[in-house]
Amino acid sequence: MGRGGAIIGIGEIKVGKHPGRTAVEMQAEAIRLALADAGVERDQLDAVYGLASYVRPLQMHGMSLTEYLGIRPRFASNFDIGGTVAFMWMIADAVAAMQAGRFDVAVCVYGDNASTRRTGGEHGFTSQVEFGTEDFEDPFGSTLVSSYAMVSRRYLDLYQLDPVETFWPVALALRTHAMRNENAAYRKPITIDDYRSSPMVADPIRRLDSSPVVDGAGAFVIASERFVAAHKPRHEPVSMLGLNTKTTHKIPSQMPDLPELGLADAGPRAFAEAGIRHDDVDMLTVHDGFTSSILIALELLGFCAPGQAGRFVAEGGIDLGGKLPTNTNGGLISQGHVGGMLHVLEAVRQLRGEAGERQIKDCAVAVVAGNGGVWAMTGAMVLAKGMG
Amino acid sequence: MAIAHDTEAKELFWKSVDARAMQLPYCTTCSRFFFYPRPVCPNCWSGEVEFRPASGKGTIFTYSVVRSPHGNVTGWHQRIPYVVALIDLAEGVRMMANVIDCDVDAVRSGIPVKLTYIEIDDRVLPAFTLA
Repeated sequence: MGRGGAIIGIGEIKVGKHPGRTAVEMQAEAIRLALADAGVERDQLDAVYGLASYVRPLQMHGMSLTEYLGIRPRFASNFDIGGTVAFMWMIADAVAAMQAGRFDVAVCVYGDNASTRRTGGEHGFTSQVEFGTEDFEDPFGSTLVSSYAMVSRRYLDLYQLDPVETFWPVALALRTHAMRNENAAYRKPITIDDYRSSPMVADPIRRLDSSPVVDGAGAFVIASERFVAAHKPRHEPVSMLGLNTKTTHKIPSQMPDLPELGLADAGPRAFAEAGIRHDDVDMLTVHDGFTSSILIALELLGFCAPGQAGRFVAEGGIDLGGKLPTNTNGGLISQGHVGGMLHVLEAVRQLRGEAGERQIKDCAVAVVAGNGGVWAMTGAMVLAKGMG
Repeated sequence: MAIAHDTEAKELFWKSVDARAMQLPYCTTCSRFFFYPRPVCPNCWSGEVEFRPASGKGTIFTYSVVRSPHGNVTGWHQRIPYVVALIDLAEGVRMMANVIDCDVDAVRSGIPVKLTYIEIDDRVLPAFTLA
């Protein structure tokens, strides 16, 4: 029993700085790479699920992108849902359309020049559009980092944890993963002394707890069962077996306490739909804007008891060879923040067995999870080899 | 009593802050305060909303000490290190504001604070001091 469609191609451009390039240009490159990987011709592409740059957003981005590529697909969109969750719903929407017979080949894409297109004088992530924080958060000198810092502080307070003992192992695990990924922006080994001397941006978040702003883009191709049967793609397809998401707020003052964040609700529903248990999961990718994000996600998804994720990570739980290798590409924190798109690609790569020196043995089931905004939109999806 | 629109709801709030007598939106249908200001109660969708004076009492739910400038540049960058916090008000609502006039290292979650005001970027903002 198939699920409508599966991922048959991935494309990822160099993460780093691309001065002079636009987000549309980088997304177009990622699409070309993904189509080449899938063995799909440009004229076979029916649908483009795009997500516009957040730094310099384009309204109706999808049409700008397809026009730029010189293609005339049935569908083009700007799928702005939040963080990694956007890509989950792109897949859900595309396979539903395929099941209905509306089209056969879709590409999902995101890329941003968050590093080189910032306005002069700004540090960290900035955007040129309103974010909903203008009236009751921005006047107080609030930023995305200080908001996540309040989340990190709440995590430490809830379980009476030490910040260095809790967050350093996460930073170390991700950097160790990144050292095995040629397309990671930060690959230099780090020590606990580096961590302790890393500048405090917004207490308790240090620079080494943060996902660096980079330029980058990624894309993946989804094809219908009909297309896969007829064209025999060069790579084993990867299917989404389950998905669920939940939003609880937009701005940080409106968020529920950590144990009630949406992922606690969405995660179990995604697992149930996929018919999997925690023991079935071979690897995880989590939207890791900051180190606390991974710990909170591990607990909300039920992989660790409340307050215990730090110990799990310190004991090697998310390392290669650990119980649940997580963000094996280095994560947003050491690979660079490309919105979580590269987390989907890493899961596909691991499931295909093409992750090179960071390959997880016998990787059959992957979970992609995380949030957008400040834990505002949350979601989890289950990916597995085959047509589902 | 009804509030005409979003613009009026925001104006009523910020005017009360400007007068250094902060008021909060209160729903007379479900008898609860809510935050942030809007003309329809987010708890019961009633339009029977009015503004009532804030007691000025609160506790720190969580906070951060901003120690490096980042994000969009504001007047706060001249005051680094500064404390930005989520304050649980005695009225049962949570708002973001700064904790000022204190040793930033003395700030902890769960401690009581009281309402004051500070002028930043030519506007008056609600702020809190250690109670």
